[in-house]
Amino acid sequence: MLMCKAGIRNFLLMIVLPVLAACSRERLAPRPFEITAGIEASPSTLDPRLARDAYAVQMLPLVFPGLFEIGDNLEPRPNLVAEYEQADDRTFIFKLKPGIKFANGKTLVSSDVKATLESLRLPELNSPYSELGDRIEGIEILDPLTLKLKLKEPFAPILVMLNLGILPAELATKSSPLEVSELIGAGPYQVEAFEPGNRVALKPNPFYAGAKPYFQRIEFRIIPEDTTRLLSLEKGEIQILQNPIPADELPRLKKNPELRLTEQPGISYTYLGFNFRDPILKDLRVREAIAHAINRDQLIGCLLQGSALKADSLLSPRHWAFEPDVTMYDYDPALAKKMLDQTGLPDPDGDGPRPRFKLLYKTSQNQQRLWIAQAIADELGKVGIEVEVRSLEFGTLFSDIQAGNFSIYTLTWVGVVEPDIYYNIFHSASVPPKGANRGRYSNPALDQILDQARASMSRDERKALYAQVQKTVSHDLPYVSLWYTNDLSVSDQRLEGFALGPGGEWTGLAKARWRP
Amino acid sequence: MRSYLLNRLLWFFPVMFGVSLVVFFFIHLTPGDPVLLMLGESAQSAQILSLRHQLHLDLPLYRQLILFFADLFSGRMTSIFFKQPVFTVIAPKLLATVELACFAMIVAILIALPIGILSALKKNTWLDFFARVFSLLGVSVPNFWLGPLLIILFSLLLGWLPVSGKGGLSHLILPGLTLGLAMSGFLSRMCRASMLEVLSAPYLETARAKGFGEARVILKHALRNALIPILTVIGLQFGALLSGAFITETVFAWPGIGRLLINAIFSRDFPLVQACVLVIAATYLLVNLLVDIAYAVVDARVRLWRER
Repeated sequence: MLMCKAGIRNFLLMIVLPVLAACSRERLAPRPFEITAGIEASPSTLDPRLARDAYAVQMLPLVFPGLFEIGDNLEPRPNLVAEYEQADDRTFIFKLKPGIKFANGKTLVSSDVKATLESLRLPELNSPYSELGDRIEGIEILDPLTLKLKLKEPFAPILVMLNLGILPAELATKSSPLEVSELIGAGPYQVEAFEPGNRVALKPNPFYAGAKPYFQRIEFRIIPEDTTRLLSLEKGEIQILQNPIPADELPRLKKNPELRLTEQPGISYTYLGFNFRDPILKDLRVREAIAHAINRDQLIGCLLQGSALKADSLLSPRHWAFEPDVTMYDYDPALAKKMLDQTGLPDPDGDGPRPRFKLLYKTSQNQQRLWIAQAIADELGKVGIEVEVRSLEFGTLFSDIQAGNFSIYTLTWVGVVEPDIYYNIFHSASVPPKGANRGRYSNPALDQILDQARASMSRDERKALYAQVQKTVSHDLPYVSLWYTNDLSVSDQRLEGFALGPGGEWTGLAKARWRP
Repeated sequence: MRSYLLNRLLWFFPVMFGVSLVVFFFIHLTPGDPVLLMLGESAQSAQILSLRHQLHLDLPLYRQLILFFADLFSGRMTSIFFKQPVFTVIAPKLLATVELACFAMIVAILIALPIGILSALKKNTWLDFFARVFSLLGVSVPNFWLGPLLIILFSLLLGWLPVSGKGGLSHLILPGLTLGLAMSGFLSRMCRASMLEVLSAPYLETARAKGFGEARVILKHALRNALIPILTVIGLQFGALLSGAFITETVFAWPGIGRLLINAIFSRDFPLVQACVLVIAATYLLVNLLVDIAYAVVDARVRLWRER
């Protein structure tokens, strides 16, 4: 079935779209005050306490604003909160903005925030955000607009986690997923319809306290096939879409005068992960040689049409904690060969067919991922490493890499905002199922810095600690950093005022409009 | 006839039970943990255990099976991914698939029967040649090729029809044509072969000798007798369509049960996969039953033999 899906894409990309470029008709004009966006897959749920998939997370801020939101440098900034103070390492006092109203007309007060945060601990709800609830020792309501939140122990990522959408107290106490009619938030929009697998429709929140949005209806249509999504955009049935957009379509889209392609540096990080249980890959020199053997510039130029930025760290250059002074691994196949020779893994027959050693490379069935894997395998082949690429359905791939059943693999961390992600992926206590240290990497010195960084409530101290983390990780090389994929959106050129959120959020639609 | 129908209906239950068992055990054999796929790798151990317990995944397989049947019959089966009762998720998708399948089947019948009949009547003429080429193309052209071609022609070049999605009749035409044209190839071939068989039968000469017009001879006497194998094919193809045309549904973003099932498999949504397969199996059985009834309606021999 998947092969068929890949076949659809290949066929469309190679034959259909070039034909279309030559003969497409005029686009449909957008309806006034309405916009339709195309998205790849269906949100699982729109209950902010349960929604974890990217599609829901990107549209929910339009309906459910949180206490904080993520700013341009990826630091949390107040959203529903007017001001806040940190009484000590464990205590915050939040003052809510006055006059914020939910879509049912009720004013947002401290008890709503308390109920929403406490609901995350409801065992029947099984919220994926239960960690946030568990880290809170207690919430005290000081007055209708002021509340005191006390943590069990100092935990720096708390403000980023508080971007969770707030519900009215009477709904937040429900221990089951909310119905569509109960999806009531304090954002500029409310949910009009949610048909899983088909569409999500939003309409304005009549009680919204901020500037009234221009669009009276936003519809997200689920169109799973990349090419059909593009055709729908070119026909004018949808007016905007964002990642994923096939890289090989970018040059053509840029030339279309009726569309506008917006590209901005992204915060999704693609990497090549190593398995430290593999006796060969355990050797740092082998990992370094592999890093030097991969020509990332060429991969970005050829396979991604330049729509990515070469990465040397998990945190992107726009991140407040980004550290530029890390170990770099430039493309140098001669050096890679020399390093492998020095590790006692000589090439048995020079340029002949026999390899130094063999690796098992696991990747998903996404066509672009497969191309990337094949290109990397080809480059490693040039330095004498034979790579068997195995392309697996995502559930199986995920299960395999969690079990450590791989030599190398490629995946992407989407929307890297909170630097505490390092704890989840490189701390020795984070080996699956307790985290995402899939390669079983362990460095006690790094563990100590990561423990310290998540407990420090000082921004400057954290910045210094995460600089050390980035340097250590770039030296130890549990991942070869590949690139940050650019955030892309393509829209009808009449759309103005739209900007993608830092994590691909659709919040910009609340400020956008059709050019008169 | 009544006892025959009763007999077929009674078979329904053991078949469904067998299907339930097969799907239950097969889905548990697939690699991948639905709990980790749902909660992600940052989930805490207590939370993983709690969800595993909630989904009965911490129990021995035989107890999971008992609870699966209990949930199924009590209507408590809930989709892990959508967090809604499975039948609430499936119902609109099944309706969309039935709508598409019926339209595609009408298209296929309207194209295939005239072509098949004409092809048989004009055997070895240029008309027959073109009909056979059409059948060959229908069988060989894959939907993932035909679908986009139709989009290019009718949506982008002519601008008559929408590219994708579900809405009014206009949204139904392209996916329906894609499926219908593919089916009509096989069906017209079957119709031709079946008609050729009956066209040489002596009872047609008798009908002609009685002075019936040629149209009546062909449509009433020949076609009716040729219908049994055609009905079998229609039944099988319709059943296959109801199990979801994943590729066509994907190309046209049609929210049908095929796409739902495939996505449920990818997200390891065990209850939704099980429910989808059961609904599809039940629909398939129902269609087969209807085909059997249709046999009896069109062919007196079947009816009389069964009543004997």
